[in-house]
Amino acid sequence: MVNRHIHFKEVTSTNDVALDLAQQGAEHLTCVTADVQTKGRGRRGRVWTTIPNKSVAASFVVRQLSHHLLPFAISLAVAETCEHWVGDVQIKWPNDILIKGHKASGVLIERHSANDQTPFYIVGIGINVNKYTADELATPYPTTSLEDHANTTIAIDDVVNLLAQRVAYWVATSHDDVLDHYKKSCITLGKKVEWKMEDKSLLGQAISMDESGALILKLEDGAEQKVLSGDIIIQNG
Amino acid sequence: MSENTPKFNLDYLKNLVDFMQETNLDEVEVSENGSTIRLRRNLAPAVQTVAEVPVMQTAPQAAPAPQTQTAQEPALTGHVVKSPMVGTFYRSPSPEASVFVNVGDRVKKGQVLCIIEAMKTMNQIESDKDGVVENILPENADPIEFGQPLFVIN
Repeated sequence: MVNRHIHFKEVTSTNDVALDLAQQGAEHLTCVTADVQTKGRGRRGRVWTTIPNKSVAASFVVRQLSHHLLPFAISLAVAETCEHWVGDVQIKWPNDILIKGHKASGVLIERHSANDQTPFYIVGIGINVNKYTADELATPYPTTSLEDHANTTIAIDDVVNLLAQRVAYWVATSHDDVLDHYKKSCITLGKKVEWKMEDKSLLGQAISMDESGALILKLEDGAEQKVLSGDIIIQNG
Repeated sequence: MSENTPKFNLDYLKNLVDFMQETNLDEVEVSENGSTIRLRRNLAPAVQTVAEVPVMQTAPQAAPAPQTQTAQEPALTGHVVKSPMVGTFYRSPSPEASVFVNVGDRVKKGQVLCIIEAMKTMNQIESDKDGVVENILPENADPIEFGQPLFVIN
């Protein structure tokens, strides 16, 4: 389990608060949650909405790792948490969690190492738990919630508690176990995909994953391409 | 026992290192005519602090990125901040936000210079000395290789 859990009614962003605490020395697996984020954010500054009793906003301070696959470990933790209530949970490389093809959670991992501090990670996790109205969730992306598929209201605390337990487990699990479990759960492998890097785009098939977690694509001209960043879009579902 | 031709010369070792990188092997042992050589890459200990983790780094020989690379880097003078990983270079925390630094800015040790994104992890790259930003080498959103020069600080 986590070493310390601090809950707030309202914060700008749980990642910001966790970062402040970490810079003051907060220990490994300190967890920050909040009912409301006024400036919740995702990758590249995208807005992430948190609504009381409808979504989880949790950030973890990670100072120790048993492997180099933190995005995979967090994906497994979130997927297992969702699977407690719903089926058909999928992981899309590297860390998107989908329920029946729709996004149910978001992850923002930030690594900090300023001022000669020992580097650490802040892992922010948002999960859509109970049903939103269209007005509440202003997003252009198709999303879903656990309740949409579980057909019952779910207590936020139950989700946070299970999530914290699974995060603690997977950050302490061996590299080989993380990679093995991840490969079995990742729907991207074997699929035709489009790899987008800003204004560039390539088509290929995701044929494997190397030890570092990079996706290996076989491009249309037969060449192999290692992918570590950019967006991967699965073709034909 | 006669001495054999020195098979384990510098070229041979270089080829062996290239082979390990290409195949992602952590350790190789070769024996021939009574001589044995073992090469081992740095392996992570079972449990470690984040400081010892090579930051999601891939094998140094990363596949070429889809964007064209500058053919030959000019010789850089001054203190060069290099990328510790493969990823995507971002000059600002979000597309709408101000850049972390501009050429001519005075920076302090520990100040964030850029973000390198790898596997959706945002890695803040800080200046490792006080100085003035003299050159910013990649363009925003460029793919970055391991060890690629990012900034010149003097």
